[in-house]
Amino acid sequence: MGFIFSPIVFLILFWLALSGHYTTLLLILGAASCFWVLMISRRMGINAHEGKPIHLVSWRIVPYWIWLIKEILLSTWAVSRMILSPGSSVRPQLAKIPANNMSDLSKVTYANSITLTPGTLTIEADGDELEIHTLRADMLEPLKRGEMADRVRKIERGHNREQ
Amino acid sequence: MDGILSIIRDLLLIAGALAVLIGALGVIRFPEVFSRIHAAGITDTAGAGLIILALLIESGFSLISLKLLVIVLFLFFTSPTSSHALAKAAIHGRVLPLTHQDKG
Repeated sequence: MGFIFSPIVFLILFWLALSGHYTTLLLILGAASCFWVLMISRRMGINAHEGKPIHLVSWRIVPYWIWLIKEILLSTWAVSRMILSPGSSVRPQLAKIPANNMSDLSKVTYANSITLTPGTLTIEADGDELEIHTLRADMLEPLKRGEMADRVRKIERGHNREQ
Repeated sequence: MDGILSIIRDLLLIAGALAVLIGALGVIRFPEVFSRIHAAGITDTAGAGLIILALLIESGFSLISLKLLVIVLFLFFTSPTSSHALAKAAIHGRVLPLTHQDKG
C-alpha cells in the first residue's frame, strides 16, 4: 500500500483532482509538470525525508483535527470577548512549556496547533521546550496541563505501532 | 432539507464574516505587535474556516468541494507558519513582548 503515498502518485492524483479538464493536451501538460516538480524536489534532496509525510496520512490525525477545531472555536470565543469588551484585558505573558518525547514532526504539529488556537502563540522552539506568548495568564493553563501534547504524542505512537 | 441546509450555510457565512470583523477590530485595539498576531489569527482560522465550510455546503459534493478542502488544509498549515515568522521578525527587530509577569 505504501506506493499510494509515493510522491509521483500523489502529485498526479492531486493534479487530476484540481484540474477537472481531461483533454489530451492538458493531460500531457499535467504529467509533464508532475515530473518536473518531482525532478526539482529530487535535486533539492527533499524526497528522502519529507517526501512521505506518513505522519500526516495516518488516520489518527483525523480525531486530533476534530479536537483541535473544537479548541480553536473555544479559544476564538474567549479572545473575541477580550476584543469586544471595553477597556484592555490584555495581560500578555511569556512562558516555556515542555515538548519532550516528540519527533521533530510532532514538535512542528504541536507548535503549529498552539499558534492556531487564538490566545497562544509559539515564539521559539528550542530543543525540548517551546516558548509561548499568551494574551492572558489563564489561557496558558490548558497547555500546562499538557492535554494537547499528549494528543500529539498519541498520533505518533499510533503510527509507530502500525509499522 | 434544502431550506435547513441553506439556513445553516447562511449562519456559517455570517459567523465567518463576524470572526473576520472581530479579528480586524482586535488588530486595531490590542496594544502591541504580539497581541495583534493573536487577533489576526482569528481572521485566518475561525474566519476563513467558517466561510469555507459555508461554501462547502453551497458547492455540494463535487470537484469544487475537494478544492475548498485543499484550501482549508493549506491555510491551517501556512497561517501558523506566517504568525511564527512575524513573531520571529519582531523579536529579531528588537521588539520585545510586553509582559505582565508581576500581576501573574
